[in-house]
Amino acid sequence: MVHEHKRFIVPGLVLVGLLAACNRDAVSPSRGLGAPSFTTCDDKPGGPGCGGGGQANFRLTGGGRIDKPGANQLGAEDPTGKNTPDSRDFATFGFQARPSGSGSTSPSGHITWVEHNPDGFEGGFTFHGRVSTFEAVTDHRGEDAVCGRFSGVGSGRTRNGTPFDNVFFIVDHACDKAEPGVGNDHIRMMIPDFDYDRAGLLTGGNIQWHKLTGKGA
Amino acid sequence: MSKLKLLATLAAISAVTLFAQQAAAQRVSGKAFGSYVNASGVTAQSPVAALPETGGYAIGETEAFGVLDQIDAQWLTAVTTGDVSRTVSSSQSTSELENVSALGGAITADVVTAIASSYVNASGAASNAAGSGFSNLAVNGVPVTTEVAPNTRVDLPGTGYAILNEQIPTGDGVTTSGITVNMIHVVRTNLLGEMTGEVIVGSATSSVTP
Repeated sequence: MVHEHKRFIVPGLVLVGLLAACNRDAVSPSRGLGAPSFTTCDDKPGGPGCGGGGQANFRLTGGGRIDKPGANQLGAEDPTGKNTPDSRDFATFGFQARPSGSGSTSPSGHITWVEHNPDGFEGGFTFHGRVSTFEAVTDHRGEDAVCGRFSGVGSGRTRNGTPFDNVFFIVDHACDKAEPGVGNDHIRMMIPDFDYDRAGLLTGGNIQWHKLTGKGA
Repeated sequence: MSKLKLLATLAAISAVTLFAQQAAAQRVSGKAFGSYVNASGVTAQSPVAALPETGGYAIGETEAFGVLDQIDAQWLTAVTTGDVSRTVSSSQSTSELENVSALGGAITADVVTAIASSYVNASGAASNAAGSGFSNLAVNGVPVTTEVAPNTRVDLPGTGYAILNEQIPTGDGVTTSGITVNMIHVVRTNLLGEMTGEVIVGSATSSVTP
Protein backbone atom coordinates (compact mmCIF):
# COMPACT_ATOMS: atom_id res chain seq x y z
CA MET A 1 0.00 0.00 0.00
CA VAL A 2 2.86 2.43 0.79
CA HIS A 3 4.35 1.87 -2.66
CA GLU A 4 0.95 2.58 -4.24
CA HIS A 5 0.78 5.91 -2.36
CA LYS A 6 4.18 7.02 -3.69
CA ARG A 7 3.29 5.99 -7.27
CA PHE A 8 0.53 8.61 -7.44
CA ILE A 9 1.69 11.35 -5.06
CA VAL A 10 5.14 11.81 -6.64
CA PRO A 11 3.86 12.34 -10.22
CA GLY A 12 1.40 14.90 -8.82
CA LEU A 13 4.20 16.77 -7.07
CA VAL A 14 6.29 16.68 -10.22
CA LEU A 15 3.36 18.15 -12.12
CA VAL A 16 3.11 20.97 -9.60
CA GLY A 17 6.83 21.61 -9.86
CA LEU A 18 6.78 21.71 -13.65
CA LEU A 19 3.86 24.11 -13.76
CA ALA A 20 5.51 26.35 -11.18
CA ALA A 21 8.85 26.42 -13.03
CA CYS A 22 10.00 29.63 -14.68
CA ASN A 23 9.92 29.08 -18.44
CA ARG A 24 12.72 31.01 -20.11
CA ASP A 25 12.75 31.28 -23.84
CA ALA A 26 15.38 30.96 -26.55
CA VAL A 27 17.18 34.12 -27.62
CA SER A 28 19.16 35.10 -30.67
CA PRO A 29 22.84 34.24 -31.20
CA SER A 30 25.39 36.39 -29.40
CA ARG A 31 26.97 39.50 -30.95
CA GLY A 32 29.94 41.38 -29.56
CA LEU A 33 29.81 44.90 -28.18
CA GLY A 34 31.20 47.81 -30.09
CA ALA A 35 30.59 51.49 -30.63
CA PRO A 36 27.91 51.79 -33.35
CA SER A 37 28.51 54.15 -36.25
CA PHE A 38 24.94 55.18 -36.97
CA THR A 39 22.45 57.71 -35.80
CA THR A 40 19.22 55.79 -36.11
CA CYS A 41 18.24 52.20 -36.67
CA ASP A 42 16.83 53.28 -40.05
CA ASP A 43 20.38 54.15 -41.11
CA LYS A 44 21.58 50.63 -40.63
CA PRO A 45 18.69 48.19 -40.39
CA GLY A 46 19.72 44.77 -39.23
CA GLY A 47 23.20 45.96 -38.33
CA PRO A 48 24.92 45.95 -34.95
CA GLY A 49 22.64 47.37 -32.33
CA CYS A 50 19.58 47.45 -34.53
CA GLY A 51 17.58 44.44 -35.44
CA GLY A 52 19.38 41.19 -36.05
CA GLY A 53 18.17 39.94 -32.70
CA GLY A 54 15.37 37.56 -31.93
CA GLN A 55 11.68 38.15 -31.54
CA ALA A 56 11.10 38.49 -27.83
CA ASN A 57 8.17 36.92 -26.04
CA PHE A 58 8.93 38.74 -22.83
CA ARG A 59 8.72 42.29 -21.52
CA LEU A 60 11.10 44.15 -19.21
CA THR A 61 10.83 46.64 -16.40
CA GLY A 62 13.65 48.05 -14.39
CA GLY A 63 14.94 50.86 -12.26
CA GLY A 64 18.11 51.59 -10.39
CA ARG A 65 21.66 52.83 -10.59
CA ILE A 66 25.02 52.10 -12.18
CA ASP A 67 28.41 53.48 -11.09
CA LYS A 68 31.72 51.97 -12.20
CA PRO A 69 33.37 51.83 -14.63
CA GLY A 70 31.99 55.33 -15.28
CA ALA A 71 30.69 57.57 -18.00
CA ASN A 72 32.20 57.50 -21.49
CA GLN A 73 33.89 54.15 -20.97
CA LEU A 74 32.55 52.92 -24.33
CA GLY A 75 30.29 50.32 -22.84
CA ALA A 76 32.85 48.65 -20.59
CA GLU A 77 31.35 46.91 -17.58
CA ASP A 78 34.43 46.37 -15.43
CA PRO A 79 35.49 47.27 -12.79
CA THR A 80 32.22 47.15 -10.88
CA GLY A 81 30.89 48.62 -7.67
CA LYS A 82 29.56 51.83 -6.20
CA ASN A 83 31.66 55.00 -6.25
CA THR A 84 32.67 56.83 -3.07
CA PRO A 85 30.39 59.50 -1.51
CA ASP A 86 32.49 62.34 -2.96
CA SER A 87 31.74 61.19 -6.50
CA ARG A 88 28.91 62.23 -8.81
CA ASP A 89 29.94 59.78 -11.50
CA PHE A 90 26.86 57.60 -11.64
CA ALA A 91 23.61 57.28 -13.56
CA THR A 92 20.11 56.30 -12.52
CA PHE A 93 17.26 55.00 -14.63
CA GLY A 94 13.74 53.65 -14.78
CA PHE A 95 12.06 51.94 -17.74
CA GLN A 96 9.44 49.60 -19.05
CA ALA A 97 9.70 48.08 -22.53
CA ARG A 98 7.87 45.42 -24.46
CA PRO A 99 7.80 43.96 -27.98
CA SER A 100 4.83 43.79 -30.27
CA GLY A 101 2.42 40.95 -29.60
CA SER A 102 -1.25 40.04 -29.58
CA GLY A 103 -3.21 43.12 -28.67
CA SER A 104 -0.25 45.36 -29.49
CA THR A 105 0.82 46.34 -33.00
CA SER A 106 4.26 47.72 -32.19
CA PRO A 107 6.90 47.76 -29.45
CA SER A 108 6.27 50.26 -26.72
CA GLY A 109 7.55 51.65 -23.47
CA HIS A 110 9.44 54.49 -21.83
CA ILE A 111 12.77 55.15 -20.21
CA THR A 112 14.09 57.92 -17.98
CA TRP A 113 17.87 58.12 -17.70
CA VAL A 114 19.73 60.61 -15.50
CA GLU A 115 23.48 61.14 -15.87
CA HIS A 116 24.97 62.93 -12.84
CA ASN A 117 28.63 63.25 -13.86
CA PRO A 118 29.37 67.00 -14.08
CA ASP A 119 32.44 66.23 -16.23
CA GLY A 120 30.34 64.35 -18.76
CA PHE A 121 28.29 65.54 -21.68
CA GLU A 122 27.02 69.08 -21.02
CA GLY A 123 27.51 68.65 -17.26
CA GLY A 124 25.03 65.80 -17.08
CA PHE A 125 21.48 65.44 -18.34
CA THR A 126 18.00 64.01 -17.85
CA PHE A 127 16.69 61.97 -20.77
CA HIS A 128 13.14 60.74 -21.41
CA GLY A 129 12.79 58.22 -24.20
CA ARG A 130 9.91 56.47 -25.99
CA VAL A 131 10.51 52.88 -27.04
CA SER A 132 9.83 51.91 -30.67
CA THR A 133 11.94 48.74 -31.14
CA PHE A 134 12.42 45.73 -28.88
CA GLU A 135 14.20 42.44 -29.39
CA ALA A 136 15.70 39.59 -27.41
CA VAL A 137 19.49 39.33 -27.32
CA THR A 138 21.96 36.90 -25.76
CA ASP A 139 23.71 37.77 -22.51
CA HIS A 140 27.19 38.84 -23.71
CA ARG A 141 28.59 38.07 -20.24
CA GLY A 142 27.70 34.44 -20.84
CA GLU A 143 25.75 34.26 -17.60
CA ASP A 144 22.42 33.07 -18.95
CA ALA A 145 20.60 36.29 -18.11
CA VAL A 146 17.41 37.21 -19.97
CA CYS A 147 18.31 40.25 -22.05
CA GLY A 148 16.40 42.70 -24.17
CA ARG A 149 17.52 45.45 -26.53
CA PHE A 150 15.32 48.44 -27.24
CA SER A 151 15.58 51.83 -28.88
CA GLY A 152 13.66 54.94 -29.81
CA VAL A 153 13.88 58.69 -29.53
CA GLY A 154 13.67 61.02 -26.58
CA SER A 155 13.93 64.50 -25.18
CA GLY A 156 15.20 66.25 -22.10
CA ARG A 157 17.55 68.88 -20.81
CA THR A 158 21.24 69.06 -19.99
CA ARG A 159 22.59 70.44 -16.74
CA ASN A 160 23.97 73.35 -18.75
CA GLY A 161 20.35 74.24 -19.45
CA THR A 162 20.17 73.12 -23.09
CA PRO A 163 16.91 71.38 -24.08
CA PHE A 164 16.93 68.66 -26.72
CA ASP A 165 14.29 66.71 -28.60
CA ASN A 166 13.98 63.83 -31.08
CA VAL A 167 17.34 62.36 -30.04
CA PHE A 168 17.96 58.68 -30.84
CA PHE A 169 18.86 56.29 -28.03
CA ILE A 170 19.47 52.59 -27.74
CA VAL A 171 19.62 50.40 -24.68
CA ASP A 172 22.05 47.88 -26.11
CA HIS A 173 21.06 45.44 -23.40
CA ALA A 174 19.07 45.35 -20.21
CA CYS A 175 19.67 42.00 -18.57
CA ASP A 176 17.88 40.22 -15.73
CA LYS A 177 20.20 37.65 -14.24
CA ALA A 178 18.83 37.26 -10.72
CA GLU A 179 17.10 38.90 -7.76
CA PRO A 180 18.21 41.09 -6.16
CA GLY A 181 19.48 42.98 -9.17
CA VAL A 182 22.50 44.57 -7.47
CA GLY A 183 25.67 42.92 -8.65
CA ASN A 184 23.70 40.68 -11.01
CA ASP A 185 21.67 42.63 -13.54
CA HIS A 186 23.35 44.94 -16.05
CA ILE A 187 22.49 47.60 -18.58
CA ARG A 188 24.11 49.64 -21.36
CA MET A 189 22.72 52.98 -22.54
CA MET A 190 23.90 54.67 -25.73
CA ILE A 191 23.02 58.09 -27.12
CA PRO A 192 25.14 58.52 -30.26
CA ASP A 193 24.40 62.23 -30.69
CA PHE A 194 25.95 62.81 -27.25
CA ASP A 195 28.83 60.37 -27.81
CA TYR A 196 27.36 58.79 -24.71
CA ASP A 197 27.91 55.12 -23.96
CA ARG A 198 27.61 53.95 -20.40
CA ALA A 199 27.22 50.44 -19.01
CA GLY A 200 27.54 48.61 -15.74
CA LEU A 201 26.32 46.10 -13.26
CA LEU A 202 23.57 47.52 -11.10
CA THR A 203 24.62 49.16 -7.85
CA GLY A 204 20.98 49.71 -6.93
CA GLY A 205 17.54 48.56 -8.06
CA ASN A 206 16.53 45.64 -10.26
CA ILE A 207 15.74 44.64 -13.83
CA GLN A 208 12.89 42.13 -14.24
CA TRP A 209 11.63 40.14 -17.20
CA HIS A 210 8.07 38.88 -17.49
CA LYS A 211 6.82 36.44 -20.08
CA LEU A 212 4.22 37.81 -22.43
CA THR A 213 0.81 36.21 -22.05
CA GLY A 214 -2.43 36.55 -23.97
CA LYS A 215 -3.58 39.63 -22.09
CA GLY A 216 -0.09 40.84 -21.24
CA ALA A 217 1.21 40.82 -24.80
CA MET B 1 -9.84 4.81 -9.96
CA SER B 2 -9.28 3.90 -6.30
CA LYS B 3 -10.03 6.40 -3.59
CA LEU B 4 -6.31 6.87 -2.87
CA LYS B 5 -5.54 7.65 -6.51
CA LEU B 6 -8.44 10.09 -6.63
CA LEU B 7 -7.31 11.87 -3.46
CA ALA B 8 -3.74 12.20 -4.74
CA THR B 9 -4.93 13.63 -8.03
CA LEU B 10 -7.26 16.10 -6.32
CA ALA B 11 -4.45 17.17 -3.97
CA ALA B 12 -2.14 17.89 -6.88
CA ILE B 13 -4.82 19.85 -8.74
CA SER B 14 -5.66 21.84 -5.59
CA ALA B 15 -2.01 22.75 -5.04
CA VAL B 16 -1.64 23.96 -8.61
CA THR B 17 -4.86 25.97 -8.39
CA LEU B 18 -3.87 27.53 -5.08
CA PHE B 19 -0.45 28.55 -6.39
CA ALA B 20 -1.95 30.02 -9.54
CA GLN B 21 -4.49 32.01 -7.55
CA GLN B 22 -1.83 33.36 -5.22
CA ALA B 23 0.50 34.31 -8.07
CA ALA B 24 -2.28 35.96 -10.08
CA ALA B 25 -3.42 38.02 -7.07
CA GLN B 26 -0.06 39.83 -6.60
CA ARG B 27 -0.06 43.61 -6.65
CA VAL B 28 2.78 46.09 -6.76
CA SER B 29 3.09 49.54 -5.33
CA GLY B 30 5.57 52.28 -6.07
CA LYS B 31 5.86 55.93 -5.17
CA ALA B 32 8.61 58.51 -5.35
CA PHE B 33 8.97 62.25 -4.91
CA GLY B 34 11.73 64.77 -4.41
CA SER B 35 10.56 66.72 -1.39
CA TYR B 36 7.68 67.27 1.00
CA VAL B 37 7.35 70.12 3.45
CA ASN B 38 4.89 70.58 6.28
CA ALA B 39 6.34 73.28 8.47
CA SER B 40 5.80 76.85 9.59
CA GLY B 41 2.31 76.93 8.15
CA VAL B 42 3.42 75.77 4.71
CA THR B 43 2.55 72.47 3.04
CA ALA B 44 4.18 71.76 -0.30
CA GLN B 45 5.28 68.75 -2.30
CA SER B 46 7.23 68.27 -5.49
CA PRO B 47 5.65 66.16 -8.30
CA VAL B 48 4.93 62.59 -7.27
CA ALA B 49 5.47 59.45 -9.35
CA ALA B 50 2.80 56.86 -8.42
CA LEU B 51 2.70 53.33 -9.83
CA PRO B 52 -0.62 51.60 -10.66
CA GLU B 53 -1.09 48.38 -8.66
CA THR B 54 -0.92 46.29 -11.84
CA GLY B 55 2.43 47.85 -12.74
CA GLY B 56 3.67 50.26 -15.38
CA TYR B 57 5.79 53.39 -15.43
CA ALA B 58 5.31 56.81 -13.85
CA ILE B 59 7.46 59.91 -13.41
CA GLY B 60 7.29 63.15 -11.45
CA GLU B 61 9.85 65.86 -12.00
CA THR B 62 10.60 69.54 -11.79
CA GLU B 63 13.72 71.58 -12.47
CA ALA B 64 13.55 73.45 -9.17
CA PHE B 65 11.70 73.25 -5.86
CA GLY B 66 11.96 75.49 -2.84
CA VAL B 67 10.26 76.53 0.37
CA LEU B 68 11.84 79.41 2.28
CA ASP B 69 14.11 78.21 5.10
CA GLN B 70 13.03 74.59 4.54
CA ILE B 71 14.32 73.23 1.24
CA ASP B 72 15.97 74.38 -1.95
CA ALA B 73 16.89 71.88 -4.66
CA GLN B 74 17.25 71.44 -8.41
CA TRP B 75 16.71 68.71 -10.97
CA LEU B 76 14.19 66.70 -8.99
CA THR B 77 13.44 63.44 -10.82
CA ALA B 78 11.21 60.69 -9.45
CA VAL B 79 10.56 57.46 -11.39
CA THR B 80 8.71 54.29 -10.47
CA THR B 81 8.29 51.11 -12.53
CA GLY B 82 6.94 47.65 -11.86
CA ASP B 83 5.11 44.65 -13.23
CA VAL B 84 3.06 41.67 -12.11
CA SER B 85 3.05 38.13 -13.49
CA ARG B 86 2.30 34.63 -12.23
CA THR B 87 5.90 33.78 -11.43
CA VAL B 88 7.42 37.07 -10.30
CA SER B 89 6.35 40.60 -9.44
CA SER B 90 8.62 43.56 -8.87
CA SER B 91 8.63 47.27 -8.21
CA GLN B 92 11.48 49.79 -8.38
CA SER B 93 11.35 53.48 -7.38
CA THR B 94 14.02 56.17 -7.52
CA SER B 95 14.08 59.77 -6.38
CA GLU B 96 16.95 62.16 -6.83
CA LEU B 97 17.73 65.82 -6.38
CA GLU B 98 20.78 67.97 -7.02
CA ASN B 99 22.22 71.02 -5.30
CA VAL B 100 20.22 70.37 -2.15
CA SER B 101 20.07 72.74 0.80
CA ALA B 102 17.75 71.92 3.70
CA LEU B 103 16.89 74.10 6.69
CA GLY B 104 18.70 77.11 5.40
CA GLY B 105 21.94 75.23 4.81
CA ALA B 106 22.06 73.03 7.92
CA ILE B 107 22.09 69.99 5.63
CA THR B 108 23.52 70.21 2.11
CA ALA B 109 24.41 67.74 -0.62
CA ASP B 110 25.39 67.86 -4.26
CA VAL B 111 23.15 64.87 -5.03
CA VAL B 112 20.59 62.99 -2.95
CA THR B 113 19.49 59.57 -4.29
CA ALA B 114 16.77 57.31 -2.87
CA ILE B 115 16.18 53.85 -4.36
CA ALA B 116 13.59 51.32 -3.19
CA SER B 117 13.36 47.89 -4.83
CA SER B 118 10.99 45.01 -4.02
CA TYR B 119 10.20 41.66 -5.59
CA VAL B 120 8.40 38.39 -4.92
CA ASN B 121 9.09 35.09 -6.67
CA ALA B 122 8.99 31.40 -5.90
CA SER B 123 11.79 31.84 -3.34
CA GLY B 124 9.97 34.50 -1.32
CA ALA B 125 9.70 38.27 -1.09
CA ALA B 126 12.38 40.87 -0.33
CA SER B 127 13.18 44.57 -0.54
CA ASN B 128 16.31 46.68 -0.36
CA ALA B 129 17.54 50.25 -0.54
CA ALA B 130 20.84 49.52 -2.31
CA GLY B 131 22.15 52.43 -4.34
CA SER B 132 20.64 55.07 -2.04
CA GLY B 133 23.10 57.68 -0.89
CA PHE B 134 24.50 61.19 -0.89
CA SER B 135 27.17 62.94 -2.90
CA ASN B 136 29.17 65.46 -0.86
CA LEU B 137 26.86 65.58 2.14
CA ALA B 138 27.50 68.12 4.89
CA VAL B 139 25.67 68.52 8.20
CA ASN B 140 26.03 71.79 10.09
CA GLY B 141 28.94 72.61 7.81
CA VAL B 142 30.84 69.39 8.56
CA PRO B 143 31.44 67.14 5.54
CA VAL B 144 30.26 63.55 5.83
CA THR B 145 32.84 61.55 3.92
CA THR B 146 31.57 58.04 4.51
CA GLU B 147 28.39 56.22 3.56
CA VAL B 148 25.55 57.12 5.89
CA ALA B 149 24.24 54.07 7.75
CA PRO B 150 20.49 53.45 7.65
CA ASN B 151 18.43 55.45 10.16
CA THR B 152 21.26 57.71 11.30
CA ARG B 153 19.98 60.42 13.63
CA VAL B 154 21.53 63.86 13.82
CA ASP B 155 20.38 66.47 16.29
CA LEU B 156 19.60 69.96 15.03
CA PRO B 157 19.68 72.28 18.05
CA GLY B 158 16.87 74.77 18.00
CA THR B 159 15.05 72.87 15.26
CA GLY B 160 14.65 69.22 16.21
CA TYR B 161 16.47 66.33 14.58
CA ALA B 162 16.94 64.62 11.26
CA ILE B 163 17.01 60.96 10.28
CA LEU B 164 19.42 60.39 7.38
CA ASN B 165 18.95 57.40 5.08
CA GLU B 166 15.72 56.51 6.86
CA GLN B 167 14.61 53.03 5.87
CA ILE B 168 11.23 51.63 6.87
CA PRO B 169 10.67 47.96 5.92
CA THR B 170 7.26 46.30 5.65
CA GLY B 171 5.87 42.86 4.84
CA ASP B 172 6.52 39.31 6.03
CA GLY B 173 9.31 38.46 3.60
CA VAL B 174 7.38 35.44 2.36
CA THR B 175 4.55 36.72 0.18
CA THR B 176 4.82 40.44 0.90
CA SER B 177 7.68 42.90 1.14
CA GLY B 178 8.17 46.63 0.93
CA ILE B 179 10.44 49.46 1.89
CA THR B 180 10.25 53.24 2.17
CA VAL B 181 13.47 55.22 1.90
CA ASN B 182 13.61 58.88 3.00
CA MET B 183 17.14 60.18 2.57
CA ILE B 184 16.62 63.24 4.77
CA HIS B 185 13.71 63.28 7.19
CA VAL B 186 13.70 66.39 9.36
CA VAL B 187 11.40 66.36 12.36
CA ARG B 188 10.85 69.81 13.78
CA THR B 189 10.02 69.90 17.49
CA ASN B 190 9.06 72.47 20.11
CA LEU B 191 10.72 72.95 23.48
CA LEU B 192 8.69 70.05 24.83
CA GLY B 193 9.98 67.73 22.14
CA GLU B 194 6.61 67.56 20.41
CA MET B 195 6.59 67.36 16.65
CA THR B 196 5.62 70.61 15.00
CA GLY B 197 6.48 69.89 11.38
CA GLU B 198 8.58 67.85 9.02
CA VAL B 199 10.59 68.04 5.85
CA ILE B 200 11.35 65.02 3.66
CA VAL B 201 14.00 65.05 0.95
CA GLY B 202 14.45 62.18 -1.49
CA SER B 203 11.69 59.62 -0.93
CA ALA B 204 11.19 56.29 -2.68
CA THR B 205 8.78 53.49 -1.81
CA SER B 206 8.16 50.09 -3.35
CA SER B 207 6.24 47.01 -2.28
CA VAL B 208 4.76 43.74 -3.48
CA THR B 209 1.61 42.41 -1.83
CA PRO B 210 -1.11 39.85 -2.43
